[in-house]
Amino acid sequence: MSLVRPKLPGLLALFIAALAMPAPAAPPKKASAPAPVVVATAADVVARYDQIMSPPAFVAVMEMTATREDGSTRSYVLKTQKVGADKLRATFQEPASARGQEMLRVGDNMWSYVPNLKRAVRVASRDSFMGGDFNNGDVLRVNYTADYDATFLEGADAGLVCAKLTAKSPGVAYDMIHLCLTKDAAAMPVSAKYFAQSGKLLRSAVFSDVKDFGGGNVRPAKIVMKNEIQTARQSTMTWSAFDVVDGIPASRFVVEDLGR
Amino acid sequence: MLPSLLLLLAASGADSDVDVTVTGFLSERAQLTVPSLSSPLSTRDLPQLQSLTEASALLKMRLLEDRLTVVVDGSAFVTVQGLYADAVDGEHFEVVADHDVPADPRVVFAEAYLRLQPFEHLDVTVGKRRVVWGTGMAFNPTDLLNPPRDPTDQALQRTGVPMVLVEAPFEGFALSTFFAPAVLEEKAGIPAALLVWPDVPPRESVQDEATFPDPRDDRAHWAGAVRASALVLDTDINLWALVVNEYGVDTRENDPRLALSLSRLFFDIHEAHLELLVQRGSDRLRVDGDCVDDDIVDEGPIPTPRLMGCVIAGEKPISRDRLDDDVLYPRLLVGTRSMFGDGTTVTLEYLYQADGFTQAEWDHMATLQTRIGGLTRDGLIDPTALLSTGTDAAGQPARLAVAPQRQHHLVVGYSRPQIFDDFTVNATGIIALEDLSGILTGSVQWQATDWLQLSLWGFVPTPSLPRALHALDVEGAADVLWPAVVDGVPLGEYDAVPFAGRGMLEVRAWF
Repeated sequence: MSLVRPKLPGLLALFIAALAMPAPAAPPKKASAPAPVVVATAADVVARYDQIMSPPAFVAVMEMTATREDGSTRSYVLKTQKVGADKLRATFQEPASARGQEMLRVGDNMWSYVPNLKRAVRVASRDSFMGGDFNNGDVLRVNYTADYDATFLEGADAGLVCAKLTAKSPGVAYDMIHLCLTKDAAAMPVSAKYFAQSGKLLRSAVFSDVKDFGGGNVRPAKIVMKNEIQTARQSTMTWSAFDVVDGIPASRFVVEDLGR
Repeated sequence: MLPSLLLLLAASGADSDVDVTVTGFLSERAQLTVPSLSSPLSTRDLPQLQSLTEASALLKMRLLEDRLTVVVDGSAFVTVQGLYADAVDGEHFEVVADHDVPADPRVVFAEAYLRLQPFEHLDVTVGKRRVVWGTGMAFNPTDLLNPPRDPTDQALQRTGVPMVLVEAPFEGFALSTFFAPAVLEEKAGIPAALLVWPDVPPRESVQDEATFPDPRDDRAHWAGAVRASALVLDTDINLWALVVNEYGVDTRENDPRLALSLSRLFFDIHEAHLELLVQRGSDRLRVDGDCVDDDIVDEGPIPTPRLMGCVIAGEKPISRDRLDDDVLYPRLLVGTRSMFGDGTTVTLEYLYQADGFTQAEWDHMATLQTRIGGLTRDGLIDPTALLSTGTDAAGQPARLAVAPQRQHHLVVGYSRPQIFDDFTVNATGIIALEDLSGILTGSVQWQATDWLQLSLWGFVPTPSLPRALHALDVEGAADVLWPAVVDGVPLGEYDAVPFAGRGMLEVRAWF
């Protein structure tokens, strides 16, 4: 009986030869923050918010902590990458039970990658994000200019400029948002209220701990999201790193790349 | 291979960052199984008590600016089991003598591969990898390579197969192809023979050639596929062609299949998916009706003369007799998954298998099971020798092993997380639509802390409608729907399940 066996060393030679090939696109390089948008119109309020909270391309590390009625907490650390107006990828780093899970948003599509399943499944935008008070849209749909129409909000406190945001499509996180920035050159986000289509107040957020993350990238490092339905509950999102970059390879935002 | 990899790392230079993550868990699962009095199968080899201890670790290394990724996902298992009993005349249990089964330590590598990205739009993966292109939740009719998974636990099953996978991902679409050599022999969870047989026969053939004849040949055994996937109009579309050449139990040569899967979200919360496989011929095991039809259960020296006649003549009563059929046998799964605001998910899936058992074919199989069950209980045969048709793939122990046999199945699933914040309730029902027999499972999971999870599982087979009517002495029960009828008793697909109930407690600690 004549048998042929595959040669493993030949396979290794293939790898070595492949590594000698031209390198793929280098990792994203940090970029300096652009000049602040001058807030003159309601659309400028949204544009400035996006400029601060959701630059065109960034890599960030944040921790989300959900506080329950009994005072106990659950925390998750995740790395988020965003490029363009509608591509964002979140990778869970802690706790160990969640490590390896990922979420991806491309346009109006969202997927959740489950390591034990070794595949991604589609999820809804308004699903709760890891059981906290943020939903999937809060984490993955962070470009308000693309998703909302804006008008000025009357009766804002002195020192604030506020806009009323109305959803362009039903797939976004909230049907209506009241968003307030400081009425100064910095125009930092201060607070927001999130409403259902009926006008019912669902959540309210306070932005704080403004800090410089480098390269002129000054932004709030903390958002406290209060649950206005179950008022004893709230969630906090805190950023430990936020790098504005010049771009991220498009191949990072395809479903096939999840889990790698 | 490892020394070469280390040289590679050294040569890559001090500038390269190496990102290493290790995730794992320790778990202990205690299982209690109550054998069934009415199952046609003998339960003498079904342990009533079982303990499964698992230590699992996933190592992921990213090197050379993410151009090279090394992944190893392995688990070590120790199984301890005991307490066996068998039904006597369907009325009571008789304890079977201790099987003296030693603890079964096993190491399984679910995945172990290298992934190289020489260019941005080119990924090459070599090693053991689980690749699933279908969108089904409970079943994947297009998945012909990976070990079957537990349909009641959609998050469990990670084991893959050895392959070389080449992918070209682009924005909005991707092209993929793989070549998977068959694992012909495995030792301690590690493939010992790939693609072609070695010079020496397998150990079990050397030890007992009568039971395990030498399976070696001089041919290559492999599977390959080419796939195109795209996001079109917010729909995930996958289309692929798979070629199988004597891979696993499928002994066909260069046999092509076509597969399609779709997934889309509707009205924000309803996901619809479809999975379709079109293949020629079928690798399903079928019973030779001549070995069981009109058989007479005889109290004389030769019970079931037809069946014994087949055995004496050297004819196996069960075989894959439609491998070379020139008939198309599609398998189709359609389903929906609805995700509600409180986190509740409801799943509904319908599975159609053109090569699934018709009523007559199920009748043959149920009759064979009943006959073999009786012969086994009487100690007259070892069913392994009678039914052996190939090697089983070693893999991770599954909570529940379900392989739908008939043509039409319905799966209903319910999941509600965040009950009192840390509890998740799951329920799944698998129903054979031809006879309405099924298996119901339920579980409660408690995430006690970030790193500790406790789960309680229950599995209960539900009787078919004809069987239930028969138990109530309803006349004509055997004519209701399409069950098998063995010795005047209707038998649905899941009436044959050998246990009346199973409970499981699992403790899992993550690190």
